[in-house]
Amino acid sequence: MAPRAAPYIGRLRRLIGSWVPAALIVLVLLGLWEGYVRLWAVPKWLLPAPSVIAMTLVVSRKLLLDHTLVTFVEVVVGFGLSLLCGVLLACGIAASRTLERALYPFVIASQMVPIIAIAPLLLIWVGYGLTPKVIVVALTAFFPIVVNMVDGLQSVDPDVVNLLRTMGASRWQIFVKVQVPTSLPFLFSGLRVAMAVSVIGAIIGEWMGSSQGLGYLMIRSKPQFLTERVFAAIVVLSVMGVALFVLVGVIEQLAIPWRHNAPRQRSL
Amino acid sequence: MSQYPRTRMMLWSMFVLMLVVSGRHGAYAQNTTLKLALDWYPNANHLGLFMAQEKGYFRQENLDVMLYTPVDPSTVLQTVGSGTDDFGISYQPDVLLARAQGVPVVSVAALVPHPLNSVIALQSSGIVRPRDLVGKKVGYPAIPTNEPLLGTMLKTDGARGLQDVELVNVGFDLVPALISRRVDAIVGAYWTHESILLENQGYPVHIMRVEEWGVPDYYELVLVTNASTIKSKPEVITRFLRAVRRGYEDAAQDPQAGVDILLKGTKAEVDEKIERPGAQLLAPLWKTDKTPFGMQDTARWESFTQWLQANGLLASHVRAGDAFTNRFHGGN
Repeated sequence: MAPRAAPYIGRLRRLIGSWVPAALIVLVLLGLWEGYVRLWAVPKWLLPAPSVIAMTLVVSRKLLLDHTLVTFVEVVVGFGLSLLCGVLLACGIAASRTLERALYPFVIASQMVPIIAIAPLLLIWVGYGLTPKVIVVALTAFFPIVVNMVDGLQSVDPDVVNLLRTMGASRWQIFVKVQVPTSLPFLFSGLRVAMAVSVIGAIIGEWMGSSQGLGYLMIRSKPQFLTERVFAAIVVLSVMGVALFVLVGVIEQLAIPWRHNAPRQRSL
Repeated sequence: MSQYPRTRMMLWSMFVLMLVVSGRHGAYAQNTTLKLALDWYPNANHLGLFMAQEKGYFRQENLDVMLYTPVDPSTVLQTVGSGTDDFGISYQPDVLLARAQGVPVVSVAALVPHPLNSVIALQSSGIVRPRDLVGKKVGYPAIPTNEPLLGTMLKTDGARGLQDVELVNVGFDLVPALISRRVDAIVGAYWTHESILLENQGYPVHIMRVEEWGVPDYYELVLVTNASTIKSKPEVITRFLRAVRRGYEDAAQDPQAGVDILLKGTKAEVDEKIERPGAQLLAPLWKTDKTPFGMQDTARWESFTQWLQANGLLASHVRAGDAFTNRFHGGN
């Protein structure tokens, strides 16, 4: 066992090494924040101290958990939808020049549409349930997926493709055996960006109209001057966002292990 | 001209003297600059302020007042509480909720002395009283105080309460939600604004006023300032409120002249077809025969505070008497 465990210990050490500076910075910032609030006696409705926010996290854990689950479902479903649409669209764009010319401008234009302006209309069109939030999430998340996946599919080595062609491979075989594996690292880069913006998309969707979720909890807490609860919701949201981001990284390692055998520094 | 050198000399010296005097005047009677955060885009509720501005009532009190709409009007009490804004327009329930969390804001005048908030349904829905809402969807802008308003109205009309309806947060798009039939009624809408907007769009409405269905009468809009401003600059507040009072007295007399000023000052932001009828509805509320405009009633503050506390929305330690003062109206 020992010789096989060695590389894992090395990796663990690297992982700790990469986390310690970030943790230190967070601790120092929190300390400064706490000190500032206490020293200048800043009222908690204006800026709550980290300790007060931590207390709120504990006291309101049930409330926060309930709303987190709602937002979590919105993010995951919306992300799934954008993954499905994004990959299909990317394959279409990479497969056909005509489709690329026809679709790509619209894909780009879709990112110029201010979601904030569209979201209230979405609510009127499709109602106030899960659907409008999922649509907002999917709209914000599918763009990085499409762009990265298209780049990946188009970045295959033409020599490899020519070789396979001379050996009689079909277009489908080239697609499955060369293009898809080549595009996977690109796809996962896109997915990590998409995951980060998905969380923001869900909150925007909830702000426009909802009866539950972390975004709803924030807009409910603000008029009650419960600033510490707004911050607590932000903390939970950040933790959820980071966890999902890491999850995408883990899935990436499982899906394309060859990428991580290459010597390369990664932050997460 | 040269045959009158003395006259010329005198004229010049008078001119120079005038410059000096006006310069001294500027140096000594420096105008006080005040920032007032509005609760929403300029509308008929603000007529008195815009009239005081346009007619120079603020200037006559040596005040330069800047009226502006914050990017997010729900932060008015925070910016006033922290001293970023000198004055702000807010709502009686919100002032009490803010005080419960320690935000040092105090209401110094009532601008709209009765609730404007109401439940509005389309006439075509057949909903004419709160009881008719049982089993229906009601849209609201996720403002916590709207919930007990509707709850009290339902109970007063013989229903069990909020559990009888489905409340839907529709953000601030109350009117589209109602027109598109996503909801059967809306709460949090003004009977001086949304109702007019709906009728203008060709949808006759039925209005249920909150104070007619068991909710204690309260002040929809109040003028708030910081507790420390009251201590440090009482004389500025007195001057400011004197000008505001004159503005609203004018608005009560001639609301349409006020709308003219509003339209001139704000242009595209204001919908004339809503503000003209709105101002006509508001003017009677501004007419105060016995008490000076802006004066607040202790009993009304207390009964509304108790109602909020009975509905579990307000901490019991909040005292109504601390949340407002009449001392700038020549009162106690």
